[in-house]
Amino acid sequence: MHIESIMSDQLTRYLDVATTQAKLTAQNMANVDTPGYRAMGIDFEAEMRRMLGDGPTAAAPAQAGLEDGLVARPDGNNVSMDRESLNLAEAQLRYRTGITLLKQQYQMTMDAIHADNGK
Amino acid sequence: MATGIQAISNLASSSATPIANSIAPSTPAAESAAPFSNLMRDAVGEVDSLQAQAQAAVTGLMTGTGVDVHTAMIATEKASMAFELALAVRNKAVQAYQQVMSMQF
Repeated sequence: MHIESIMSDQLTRYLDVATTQAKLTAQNMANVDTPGYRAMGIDFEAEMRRMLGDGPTAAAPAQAGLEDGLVARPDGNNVSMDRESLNLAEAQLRYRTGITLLKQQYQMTMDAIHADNGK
Repeated sequence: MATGIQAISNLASSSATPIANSIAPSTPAAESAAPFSNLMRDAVGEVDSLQAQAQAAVTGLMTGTGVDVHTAMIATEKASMAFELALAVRNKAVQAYQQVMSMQF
């Protein structure tokens, strides 16, 4: 018995990646004053493409990597609060979008289950 | 609960074979070996396992063992949907049974 659709399965992964993005952003923000810390991040779209390409079976968790091309401060830390704020807002927006779409998917299934209760 | 289901499955398997044979005598016995009660038991088992997964996810969320909020919510939503579906099927089955019972010959 498979009660969920393919789309809700994909949205579950979308939420997973968005959560990973938010976690990494939080980690970067927490380490803004740590000397020598290098900002970490994920390539959201590439991760999504990889996870959706895996098919409906095992989904490997998103791989985080060091962000390159950032300017480091004299103490070796390259976290930019402006950039992290932007990433956080982006992750929140993605999360909300995913939740809304997933809710619609579940509501559709629920409506189908209760199709003859309304009359 | 378990004994009730067991009793129903016994009842169904004992009566299913002669009915199946009388409808389709050419059908091999192996094909009629999966009665409706098996289907029901599997479905109930599936609902139960989804409920257990939801329980584990919520426990993980509460005790902070690395379960994400959306994972717990999705698990409970899946369990809830499976239960609602089982309930709807059960209501339909009871309704059908009552319709048959109230038939006038």
